[in-house]
Amino acid sequence: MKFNFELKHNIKYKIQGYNFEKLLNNLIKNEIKLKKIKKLDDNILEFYSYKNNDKIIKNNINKLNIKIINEKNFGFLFFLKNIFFRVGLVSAIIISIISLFLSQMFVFKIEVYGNEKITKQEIISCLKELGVNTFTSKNSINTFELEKNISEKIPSISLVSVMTKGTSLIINLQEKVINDEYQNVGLFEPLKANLNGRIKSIKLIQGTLNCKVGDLVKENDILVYPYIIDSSGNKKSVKAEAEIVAEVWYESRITHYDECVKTYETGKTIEKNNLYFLDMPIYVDKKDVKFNQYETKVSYTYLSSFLIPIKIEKILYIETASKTEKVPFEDVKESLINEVKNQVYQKVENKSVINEYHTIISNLGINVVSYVVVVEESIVNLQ
Amino acid sequence: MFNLFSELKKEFNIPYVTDYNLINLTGKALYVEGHKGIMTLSKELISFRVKNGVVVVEGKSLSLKILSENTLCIEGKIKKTEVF
Repeated sequence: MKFNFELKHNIKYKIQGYNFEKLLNNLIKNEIKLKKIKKLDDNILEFYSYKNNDKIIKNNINKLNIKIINEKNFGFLFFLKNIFFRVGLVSAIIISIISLFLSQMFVFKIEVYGNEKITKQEIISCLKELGVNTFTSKNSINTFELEKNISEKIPSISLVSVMTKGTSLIINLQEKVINDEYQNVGLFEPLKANLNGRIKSIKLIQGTLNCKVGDLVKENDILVYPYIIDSSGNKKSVKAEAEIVAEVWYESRITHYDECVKTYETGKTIEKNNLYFLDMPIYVDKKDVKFNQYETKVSYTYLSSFLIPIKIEKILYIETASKTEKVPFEDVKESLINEVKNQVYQKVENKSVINEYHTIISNLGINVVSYVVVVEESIVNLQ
Repeated sequence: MFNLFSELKKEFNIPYVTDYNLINLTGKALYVEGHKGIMTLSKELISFRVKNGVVVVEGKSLSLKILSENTLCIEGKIKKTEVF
């Protein structure tokens, strides 16, 4: 095999056409050196030339309507150029593949979809707490575990899915939808009775009744619950509101004794003064109290003008005497009834009285006078 | 470019050299200086212009080894060279 070593970059042209002589003459007029000119067939010619003449050669070929059917590069310089290009290309491809492979191993971007109230930053912060960040290795991310942890960390998420796609960590989430009524569950208080009475009329504005007309209710009994139940059976929280009027009883009592022992003061007194230092007695008055029956009044005085904590205890002994009085109930009955009536009316004030009555219970000389006033009034506080 | 006949003229102090010169090397190659362009090119016949004439080379498997503005070299089995 014949091997021609060429240092320079040569091109072998194989052309098809006619009038090659004119082409060759045109080329040599342009000072182009041609080599190995061989006529392969009547209309096919082959020749070599240097690469730097390529443009002129092709121009001339085109001018004469000759077709290039083959073109081949030769030469050591071409080989080097070619090899460098190929090595460079191969190297670039290898580097790219390695880079791509490495890049696929990490998360570069976190994408969050489906969030409305929860911000993307909240999700990213949550992920950071869970140890997931940009540049985290994809192998270290357990998506199932991550979904579970995100749901636990952010209670307002009802559904979350985590997946890795390319270099992105994609988080699809669904937020919990809470109705306004349900958001306020527990915020409203039931409507309670603020007085004892018997319900006379009910005008329910909002809520669920827990009483009916004619019911006897005590103070703090629940009259209206702060919710309603809709047609589908769901409980919705609402503010309990109602106008409930009831008959309310106001009562006062006085007890009268037919025979009673009354104690009164005789006017005689004895005063004793004791001194204490830090609650320890330093002087005790030893006067004798010769009263048979007495009451005492004790008062203390602190000597605050001194630094030393001294207390003066003043005991006043008041002599008393007792005597038995007999007052028949019938003598004071009317005045007692009036007295107890006045007491009741002080409680009733300007309310509309619908009924009033008194009762007397007598037993073994003890008489209890009771006066009852029935009024009609609202037993709930409207806010 | 190397010019064989000009070098020879200088070396041997030859007073006159024709407008074109050619040298036939054992019928296998024909070296020409001072041609004025190719007229015919085929495997059997190559002709080219020279000053005041035409050179016709006949043979077998003829090809142009080199072709430049002034010089050409025909390679092949050269049977006949005629100048008209």
